Amino acid sequence: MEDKQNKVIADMAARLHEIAALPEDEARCLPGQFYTCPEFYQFEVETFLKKEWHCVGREDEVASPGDYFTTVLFDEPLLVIRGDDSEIRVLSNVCRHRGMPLAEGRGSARRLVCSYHAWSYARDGRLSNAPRMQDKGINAGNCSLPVFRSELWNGFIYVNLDDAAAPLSSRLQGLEALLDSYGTREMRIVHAQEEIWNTNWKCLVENFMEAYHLSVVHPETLHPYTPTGLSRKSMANDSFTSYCANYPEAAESRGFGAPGLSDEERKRSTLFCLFPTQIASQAATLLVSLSIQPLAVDKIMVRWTMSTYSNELTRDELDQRLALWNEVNREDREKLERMQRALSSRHAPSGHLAPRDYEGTIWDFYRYLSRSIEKPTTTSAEI
Amino acid sequence: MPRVTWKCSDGKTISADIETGVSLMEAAVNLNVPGIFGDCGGALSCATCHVVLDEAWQHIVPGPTDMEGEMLEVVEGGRTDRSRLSCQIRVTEQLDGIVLHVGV
Repeated sequence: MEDKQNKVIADMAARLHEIAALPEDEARCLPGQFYTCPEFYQFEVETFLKKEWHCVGREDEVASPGDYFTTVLFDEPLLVIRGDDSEIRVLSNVCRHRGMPLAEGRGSARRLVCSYHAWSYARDGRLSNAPRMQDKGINAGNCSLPVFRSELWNGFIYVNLDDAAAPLSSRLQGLEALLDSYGTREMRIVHAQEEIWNTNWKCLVENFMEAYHLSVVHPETLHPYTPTGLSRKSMANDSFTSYCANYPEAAESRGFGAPGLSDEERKRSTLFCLFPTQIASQAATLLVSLSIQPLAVDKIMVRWTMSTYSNELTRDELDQRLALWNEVNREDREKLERMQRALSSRHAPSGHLAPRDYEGTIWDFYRYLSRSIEKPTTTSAEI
Repeated sequence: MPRVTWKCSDGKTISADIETGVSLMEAAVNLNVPGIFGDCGGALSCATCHVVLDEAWQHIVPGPTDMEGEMLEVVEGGRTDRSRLSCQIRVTEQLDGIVLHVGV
């Protein structure tokens, strides 16, 4: 049984490498099974997803000492909290006594108290008090909360569950150049929400990163501002890919934003994917970032935030943008959830990808996947 | 309303008028008195609301029950003969002017 599963995965890995090796103008989609096979999903989780950096939110979601929010990444309950030293830490949200989650949702705490037996921890995760445990040798040295690796970049908070992972910052120069003028770091959070989508995590990455669907799926919401036809592939490297969704000449201004922006930058949204699970749209006055937290082969948690530059947009304008983004997400989600049900078909195709400006980012994504999943050394006939 | 004063080990003094019926722990947590946490919410289960009564008040406030006495054995910093868990003391008019030492 296990051998059969290994063969399926090895065959799929080999197929991935074949597809990723196609020249850009002959690029094709991954066949349906890459989005529906539970064993392949588990393989992705164990081989690279759990070892990668994932964005969990924005720094100003935890603006003051004690501010926290909770989230879950690959079954690992996480507590993102700012300490008394103003450092942001990502702590294990699991009490060291019997495994109870310490906090839920978001809030602010003087210290973290377990609701089960009142063990308490300081804001940096150090055990403060374990009632009636004095004779058991329980202390801050052996029962403080584990701290996960985290990094801050451009106002985003990233976590890695793998203690041995290489640092994130060293691979961000390319993306740094793309976002240089926007003042991404200073953007101020106005909204955060979580929702469950019944789709494979890669489907949302691909959907967000391709412009081909914009005018079809979003005729009223996005087409007037970011029609497919004006979209252009932008920078990419081993860590990210991006495209520019350009606004038509006649479109009304979307705001001024940071003083250093060029006229072109003010007239487009730049969509990027920091591989593997952060997808975001950076515009002059608005930054929307979606963190994809895979839950199963056909299920994801989407944690998304909306931030704005300075105080240029009024509350009404921000509410309108939020309503627009909610509608756009609803439109995408409806398509992706319908497609997910069909991808199990034995006829689910490895179809041709559209030209570079419209779907070239997907080709970049496949090449990232092929770098993350080793090419099988044995041919399937030998297994 | 009765006035309550907390004297903290770092020299800080916090005074406030507290409604009768409120526990001294709840009052301290609301006022962010350093060293008073009340982790268990007042269920005699955590010993994180320890105060030491000022000498003048030792005989006015009734002594701890056996259950409180048991928890007092494990307070951080050690028990004194004027130690109390402040979740077990409710504010009454008789306590107007009371002084409590924290983190002694």
